[in-house]
Amino acid sequence: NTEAYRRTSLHESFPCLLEFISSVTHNPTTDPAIIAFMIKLTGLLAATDHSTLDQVFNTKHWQESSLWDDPSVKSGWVHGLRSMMQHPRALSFFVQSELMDQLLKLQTDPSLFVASSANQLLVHILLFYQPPATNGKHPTPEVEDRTHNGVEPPPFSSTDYNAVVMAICVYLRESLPPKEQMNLQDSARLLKLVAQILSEASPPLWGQLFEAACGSLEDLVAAGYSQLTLPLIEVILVAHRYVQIKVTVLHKCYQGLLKWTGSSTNRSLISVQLREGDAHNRCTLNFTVYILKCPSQSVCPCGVLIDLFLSDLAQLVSKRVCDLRWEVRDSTVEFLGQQATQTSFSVDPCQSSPLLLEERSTVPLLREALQDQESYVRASAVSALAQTLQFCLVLFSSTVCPQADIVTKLLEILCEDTEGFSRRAVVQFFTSWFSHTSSSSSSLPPLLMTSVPSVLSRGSSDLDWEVKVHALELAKLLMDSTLTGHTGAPHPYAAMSRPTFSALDSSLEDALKKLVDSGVVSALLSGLFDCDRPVGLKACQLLIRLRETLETSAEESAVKCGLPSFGWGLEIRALVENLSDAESVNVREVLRCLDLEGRLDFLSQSSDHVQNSPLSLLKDILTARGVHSHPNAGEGQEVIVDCY
Amino acid sequence: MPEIRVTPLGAGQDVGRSCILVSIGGKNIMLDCGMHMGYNDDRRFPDFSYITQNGRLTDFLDCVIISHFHLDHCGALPYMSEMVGYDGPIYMTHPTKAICPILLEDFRKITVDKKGETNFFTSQMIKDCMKKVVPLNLHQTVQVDDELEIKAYYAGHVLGAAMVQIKVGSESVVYTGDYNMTPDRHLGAAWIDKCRPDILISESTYATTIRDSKRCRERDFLKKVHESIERGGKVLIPVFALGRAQELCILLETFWERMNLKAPIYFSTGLTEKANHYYKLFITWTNQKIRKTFVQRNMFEFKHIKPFDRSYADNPGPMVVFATPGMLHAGQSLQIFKKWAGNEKNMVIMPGYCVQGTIGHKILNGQRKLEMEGRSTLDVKLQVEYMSFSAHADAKGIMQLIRMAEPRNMLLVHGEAVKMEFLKGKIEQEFSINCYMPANGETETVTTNPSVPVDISLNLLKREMTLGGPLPDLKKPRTMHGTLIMKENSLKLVSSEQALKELGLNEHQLRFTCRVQLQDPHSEADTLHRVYTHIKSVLKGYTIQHLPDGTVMVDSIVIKVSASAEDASSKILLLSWSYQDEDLGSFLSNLLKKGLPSIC
Repeated sequence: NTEAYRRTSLHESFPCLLEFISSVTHNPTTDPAIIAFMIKLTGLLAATDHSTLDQVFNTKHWQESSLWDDPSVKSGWVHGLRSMMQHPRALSFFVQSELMDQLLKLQTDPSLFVASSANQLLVHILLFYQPPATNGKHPTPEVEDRTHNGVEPPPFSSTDYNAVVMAICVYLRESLPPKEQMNLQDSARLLKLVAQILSEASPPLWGQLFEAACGSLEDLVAAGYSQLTLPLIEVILVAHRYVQIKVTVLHKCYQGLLKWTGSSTNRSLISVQLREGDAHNRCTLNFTVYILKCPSQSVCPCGVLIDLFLSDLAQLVSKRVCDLRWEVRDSTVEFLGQQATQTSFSVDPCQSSPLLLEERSTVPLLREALQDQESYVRASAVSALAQTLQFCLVLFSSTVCPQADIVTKLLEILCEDTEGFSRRAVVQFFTSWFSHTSSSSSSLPPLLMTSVPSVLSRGSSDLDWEVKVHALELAKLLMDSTLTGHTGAPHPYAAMSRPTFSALDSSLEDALKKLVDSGVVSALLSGLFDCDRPVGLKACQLLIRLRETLETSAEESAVKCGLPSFGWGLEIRALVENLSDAESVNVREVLRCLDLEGRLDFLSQSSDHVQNSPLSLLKDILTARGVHSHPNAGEGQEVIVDCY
Repeated sequence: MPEIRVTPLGAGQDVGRSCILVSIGGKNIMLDCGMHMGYNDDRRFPDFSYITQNGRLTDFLDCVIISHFHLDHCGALPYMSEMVGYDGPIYMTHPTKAICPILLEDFRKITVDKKGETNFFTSQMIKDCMKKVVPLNLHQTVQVDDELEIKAYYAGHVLGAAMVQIKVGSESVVYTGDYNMTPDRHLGAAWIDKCRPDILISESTYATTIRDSKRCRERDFLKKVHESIERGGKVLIPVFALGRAQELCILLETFWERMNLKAPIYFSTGLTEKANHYYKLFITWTNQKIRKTFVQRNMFEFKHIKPFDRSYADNPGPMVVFATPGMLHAGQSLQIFKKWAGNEKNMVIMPGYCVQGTIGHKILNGQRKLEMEGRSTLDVKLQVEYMSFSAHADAKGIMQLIRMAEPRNMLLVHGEAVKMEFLKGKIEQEFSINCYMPANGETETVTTNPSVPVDISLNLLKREMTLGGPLPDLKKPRTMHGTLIMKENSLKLVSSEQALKELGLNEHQLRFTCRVQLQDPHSEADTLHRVYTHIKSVLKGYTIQHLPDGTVMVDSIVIKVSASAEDASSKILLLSWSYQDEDLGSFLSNLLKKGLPSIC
């Protein structure tokens, strides 16, 4: 009957809902929480009913009754709009009703909740409606997920989209520079927004936005507001990571920042940074390292200081890494990782390598830190080791291979560490090792190949669901590289070039066998039935991809996968007929039998789906009425008061 | 008059998001920085804009103190320090520092996949925030700066919970956080010195209740679990990773041991190991009984409680399972619940608060048909129980703490307005002290009367005695003259001669002079005489002299008469006095300006 609901308009099937919306809209004394609920509801229903949209989303109406001052109303408006903007057709309503101005105003709303969700909505609109990438950058993960859900973005007016982009550009140009000292917070927030957009946008949009922000960035650097250092550096680092264009602007910014951080390359600054670990310092540190390794004198006017500075730095690091406080050890280990990453970004590694701590002194320190008693430090050490892999790759352009004892230690951490942080970092280490190696050389090192199956099996049965998600990420890399028939893994977000195996059925069969043997298939099947939704979702997406690849072959496959007598094995036996006693199962067949699309649909709903659905809220209201009229209402009251 | 100002940004006539600003002796301190689990909008966090509208948090605050690891007391901390921006010191006890990030992580993992969440938490933010934390030991005075000092006291409630005394000079405030005045199975009772703070800020969750002992609630819990097991049912207890879970584990473990029960108890979360590790590590923070038995056997090394595998849920027969998360809204606890909900022999026990909208909240409110994803419904047939184990002081306990600390003023937070009102009346009646209960954003100002001790020199006292007055008496204050010397943190009252000597200074005389013109045709000598008689008639009891050199003296004041150069019928009076006699000098000059009485 849901189909029937969809076909008839809301007006016909639930006249009371429209009455509710209209009575709330016109009653200025309504509680802001109810108004917020109503606006959210209208957003959810936008696809089926448009009659109320004009009124509900018209902010003038709310401003007149001064309800707009309440953050929950504004928040409801943003969330309602967000639900509506999942539909491609909503863009023209959005543009024609001139909602853009209001959304832009909310970007710097005094309520961080409102501002933050408004930021997210703006990013969503920019990316969701962004035309497909033509060169360079790849579609965003969001777009990829969307295609996998089977919802292709239908066309919408590019005029509307351009209008939105234009408005944002104008807004950035005007609002980035603070009008007065008091607005620095706003500028900081907008800079973060710019950094986020730039890190996710594709080239044409990227160029437009960067162009718009550029002038303001220069002005901000010139003005020298110390409170904006951190967000400014973030923008500059993001911008730099993706393009070499506009070098002049970036250079100007660097110079400005250099002047401004003054003696940013002197030792006292570094020692302060290693003592304290906050984000601000970490960022300046990144920047310092960046400047240090920069070969161009025009950017780095401090060449003479560097030798002196580096010997001091090396001494300081070796002291700090065994400090009594975990905070200091952790910041130091994080620093070691970052300086390795920064080096690998360098244009000319030979020129920059002497400037930094060398690998031979870094790795032993990090190996030591793997034994640290504090899990935060162990995790940072694992991540830093992953970062040094990149370092080796660039410096020696050879197969990246960490020492065997380190690999053994990492596997030990994955099996035995009591903390999710460190185990998560270990799985990520192997992911980054795998992707660096497979993109740089034709054969994978044996040490990596022997470790991956244990990482997969351990990782996918971990107690921490985030470890499992990372293990599935590794499974995905392995799957991509095996199925595409070469080890050069595609960019994780590359528009999936569906491999065609029709001519090579035997190699597809081999590939599938490899995936079973390395534990990829059982990791995916186990993940599918995981109680934590993000794990199930990821596994489901990958299984669909696997099934689609297998279906390209006309031949039936004979590859089987073992079926355990517990856990996911039981779940599969319950779902698939004639499996009760089987110890193994044909992979291709089982993928056909599982209703993966149905599962994906259900898993795509977030875990607060039940919590936030209007039906659930209505039920709560009805029950609450029952509870309160009950003579023993006191009991229920205690539940609410007694937080802990 | 010096004053202390207290402004709750959260927990003012409310439970949740505790956050109280105290301004004392020019220092600003934030007490707790909690969040409200029930909201995902502005009401989740305390209203920091109260501070930030006037600049940065770091510039305004001298320090932040966290009383214990519950999220309604520390949950907004990473948001405050990493998003709003605070780089100053954050104080908490060692166990709180160790456990706080686990709870924050737990919370982050739960919210990360929710679409309705504006996610302010990342692991990195939590870590960076914890790096700003300075750990506290009990009963150790920590100097935040030259003037501000803080000291932590044991509060019971949960592992590592502390009350804290904040002191600037002779002014002080005590903040209780959440506390418990009766020992329970694993923690002791709160205790504090008779420190007589200017204000005692106390929680008042159970302001009107005299709670039945926690023991009764525990017995009730065990009875319910036991009955369910006996009839072959399965018991699900949804918990958060740390806190309540460990408490209930100890309870079940000892009960199983005593009753020789065989049904398995499972714990589903991977975090138990770490949690138990901390309970072992901080054994000194638990109660005496646990500390004693620790020698023979560690209470946190459970014999009956085993890690849970998800396939066990389908095993036949009775069992007890602790599963996360605590509100039945996702993950393992929800999965097990779905499996077991259809059997009336089974039971779910909710040992804590559930946010509106969660399955936990729904079943506690009596919903028996639940809409699940994919348009399926779930029939809830199993037994649903709610058990409160929270360890707060009840009305009796709060009065007991007041007797212990003897505060000059009382301020209630972390409770409901109606209940606070009742307790306020009781406190004011029994202790005759003021009791305040500000709402969020309201500032309560308390004037303090700091007593500043001053040493007085013996010479000065002796001189005062020779002048005839009695010795200083507390009940009869009187004026004394002397010079106050402030030197190296000590105050001393001495005679001015001694002060001059001690400070190596010379004495200077300061005199005021004044001219008064009078219409008086008589001779100068006559006028002077009339001045003399006039003053003598006005001022009784003063030494007034008419000297042969043509002057009149009243104490140190000298009066002379001369004829005016221009007008023979008018005279000029010259007055001169030392600054010590300023009052008398002004009086006389005013008196003479009015003219002399005509001769009768």
